[in-house]
Amino acid sequence: MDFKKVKDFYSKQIAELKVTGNSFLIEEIKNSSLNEFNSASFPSTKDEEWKYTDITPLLQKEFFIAKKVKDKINIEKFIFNNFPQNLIVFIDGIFSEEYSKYEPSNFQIKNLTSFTNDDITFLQDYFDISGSKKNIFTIMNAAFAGEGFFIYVPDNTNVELPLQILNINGYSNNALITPRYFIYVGKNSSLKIISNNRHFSDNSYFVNNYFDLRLARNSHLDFYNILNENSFSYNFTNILMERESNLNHFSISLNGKFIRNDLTAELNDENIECNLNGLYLSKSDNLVDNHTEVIHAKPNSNSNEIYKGILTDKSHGVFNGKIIVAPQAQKTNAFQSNRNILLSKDAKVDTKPQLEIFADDVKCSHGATVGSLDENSKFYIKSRGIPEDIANKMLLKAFACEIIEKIEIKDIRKYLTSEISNLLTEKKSLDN
Amino acid sequence: MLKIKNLYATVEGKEILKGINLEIQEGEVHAIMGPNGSGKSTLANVLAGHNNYKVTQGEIIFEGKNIFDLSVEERAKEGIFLAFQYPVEIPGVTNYSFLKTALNEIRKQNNLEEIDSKEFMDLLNKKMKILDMDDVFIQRSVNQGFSGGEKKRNEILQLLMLEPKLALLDETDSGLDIDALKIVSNGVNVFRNKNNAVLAVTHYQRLLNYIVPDFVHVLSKGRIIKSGGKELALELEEKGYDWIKG
Repeated sequence: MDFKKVKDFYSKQIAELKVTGNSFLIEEIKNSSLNEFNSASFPSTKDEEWKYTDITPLLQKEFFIAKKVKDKINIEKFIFNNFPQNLIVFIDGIFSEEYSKYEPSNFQIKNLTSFTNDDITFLQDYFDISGSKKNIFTIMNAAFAGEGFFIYVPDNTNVELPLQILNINGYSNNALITPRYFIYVGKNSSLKIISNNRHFSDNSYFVNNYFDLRLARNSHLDFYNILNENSFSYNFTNILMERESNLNHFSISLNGKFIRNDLTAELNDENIECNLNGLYLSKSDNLVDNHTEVIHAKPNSNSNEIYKGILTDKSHGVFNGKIIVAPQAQKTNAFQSNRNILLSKDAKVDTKPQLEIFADDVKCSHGATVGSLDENSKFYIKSRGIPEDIANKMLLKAFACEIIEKIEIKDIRKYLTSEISNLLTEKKSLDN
Repeated sequence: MLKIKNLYATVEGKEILKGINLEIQEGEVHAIMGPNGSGKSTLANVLAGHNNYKVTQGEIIFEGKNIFDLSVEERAKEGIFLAFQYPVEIPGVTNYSFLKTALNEIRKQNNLEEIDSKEFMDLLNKKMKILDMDDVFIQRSVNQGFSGGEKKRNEILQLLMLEPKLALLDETDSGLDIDALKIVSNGVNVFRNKNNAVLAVTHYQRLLNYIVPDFVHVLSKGRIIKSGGKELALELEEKGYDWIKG
């Protein structure tokens, strides 16, 4: 595979790109990112961080920035409908005024393309807007200067209704989709966000999402990143937490040919509570890869990470959970667990905890399991006359329950339960 | 109702049952007693159809039918019920939906329509009263976070709801205090009638004070070495299992 050729292909697209919006700073960011893109390289399985995940299938295809959709499409079926009034819709990464409904009364939502230079300066006070230059995909996201939103909750503000960001992907074939979101939750404030990513068709596409989350002192954020994709999906989530802030993050990967989630949470002060919950389902020959990194920089904070996977057919799961505890971060509590159920002989999971602890007075624990459905539990259920397929569904529900019961939004809980059920229905037979 | 003929069974290649012969008629209560490792629980699990246990010889005839080829759920639908020694926890699945699913599967087998929700709730409330169970159990996940006693009560609730022909009780008295033992035993006695039967597997005699058996069998090293009436249980209690071995 000639990675150089692929880079040239995207580099040319970036150079020819006309930046939407009226800020010269965005143009500047695009240009500086293009230079970085040109000097970066795509990872191979020789890179430790990509050891189990081969991106060759992604690079073998050519993706192009999509055009705005003119046709009417039915978006109803994709929406979590408990609260349709706080909705931002993107189709193939392009904001759709037509379908979006939002009237934030006590916080601000601003489309990046309508940014003025003053807005950019404001944003730069909170974020590194040119993108935390983590890897070639985040650089690419910055360079394509895609559409996106800046969501700003001022201090002392509770935003009651969840804000739903609906991304409908794959309307056009071979779409390259690069949205970016900068989310700031002010001091003593709270916000709930649902990033709801759906595929429109069987088209192939590459979505490269960038989420930058900032939690100010004593703020609270619930963030759901729900992926029901069909093609290639890369998600980068960068989290910075201040003193006494509280995060419940849910990374839910339900479907997708190729999914890679990179998440970094930096606990930058004391008395922080960071809860990372993950649930991933995978079938056919799909790949789902979760790489997380939790950095305890200061004393007296807690992180609690639970990722659970259900894999069938010939699918492949990867989990890599890094916990870093800095020398001064005494009295840290860091917990990590990754559990997997394989429903077929050909499914597999590579799971690796990675603890780098430089403080001595800490409580850190981690555990990983890969197994099949418990035979004894299955026997119990079947001994009540319940057939094998329903018994399996009950046991998968029981397995995922630890994550699902933490979700406050009923519509999402119901959706996940039915997706788990579907995974078994679609599978031909249980062969172990 | 049940005829076990010269039954041999292995678990993980090790022979546990070595020629069991036992016959149970409608309306009877049989107790199987024996020291640890004698094969009591194995017998209960083999009858229910656990696939860790392999029948290597002999026959199990239930209601005139050889059940060798029947799966666990098919046996349940035919009317065999096992009350577990260690009931399994199923988080995220409520007692309500579990019991309703099970009951409807069994009704389907008997060519009955699905039970409607009101009828089901009435039935459930009636049975829960017998076991002195609180309403909150209905919406709690199956056995999750239940105490030992609550789990055993839940087993008997399932027994009362599903109304099988043959109830296998696997160490149902273990972990119960005296009050819970009375409630659970009463549940079993409510279940009993002239058309069904109970096979209680137990290490201790005390359960049999409340669920009075018609026959007591002593199992040792995979064989029934002595059978008798209820007085045999008392004798065992007094003299210990060594008496019988000698």
